[in-house]
Amino acid sequence: MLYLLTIVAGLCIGAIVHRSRKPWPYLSIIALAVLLSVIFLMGLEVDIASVNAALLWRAAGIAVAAMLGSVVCLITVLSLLKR
Amino acid sequence: MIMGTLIIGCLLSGIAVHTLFPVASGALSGWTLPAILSLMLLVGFQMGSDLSWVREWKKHMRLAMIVSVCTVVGSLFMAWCYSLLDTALRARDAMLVASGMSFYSLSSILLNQEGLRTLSVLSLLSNLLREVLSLAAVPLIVKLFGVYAPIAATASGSDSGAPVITRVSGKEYTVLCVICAFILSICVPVLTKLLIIMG
Repeated sequence: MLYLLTIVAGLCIGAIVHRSRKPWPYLSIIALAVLLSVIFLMGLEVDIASVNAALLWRAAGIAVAAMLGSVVCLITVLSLLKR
Repeated sequence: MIMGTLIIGCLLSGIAVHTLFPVASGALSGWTLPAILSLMLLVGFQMGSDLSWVREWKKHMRLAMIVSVCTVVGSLFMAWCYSLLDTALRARDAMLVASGMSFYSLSSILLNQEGLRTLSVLSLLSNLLREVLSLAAVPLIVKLFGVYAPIAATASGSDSGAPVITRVSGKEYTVLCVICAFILSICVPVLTKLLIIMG
């Protein structure tokens, strides 16, 4: 809930700034810096001892399964709707 | 390519700091929540500062909802199917990992906050792989499954991957990419919490 509220708060602030038509040239640089710092902080949480080949295969398996599942579900629904 | 290198570099730096300087790592960990909240604020800010998608929202709304719902249902269903093959993995755990919808930064931190450390690492790797693989395979996905399929495959990464997707599918799909990414980004914390509550 906190995350959702933060996104909505950001959206409102962004819309207000957009309406005032003030230029915001550094937004993409700030966003990149924050994203990279979050990824760095995520790295701090990773216990290297727990990462092994089995975990990597499992991660790849779930990634491919989820990717294919969403694509197959979408084309099935779209083909049903076309009929 | 540069972006990918930066992301991998930051991740490896974090892992190196955690391994080499555990005390400093513990002190820095307190910054995780403020950092993730700043990221969320910026996601909203970027959406709000370019409201062109709002004007075209109605035109794309129906299709965006179909793509988003299919992405969520298909991802969770196939993760459940995967757990049937991998007997060491619980169905709920596989679905929790897939509920990240390629939003690797948020999903892994949400799981870590719930004390699910191993699952958090799995979620980070899996969702990162999903984004990288789906973006690399956009031309193939379009050729095999059609123009909407890469949006479903990249899930919440379809906004950052929009330049790649629109290069193959066409510029008219940019707004759809952004709307779907927005809907799916909002779904990530909701789905994760829901799956944790359902136990």
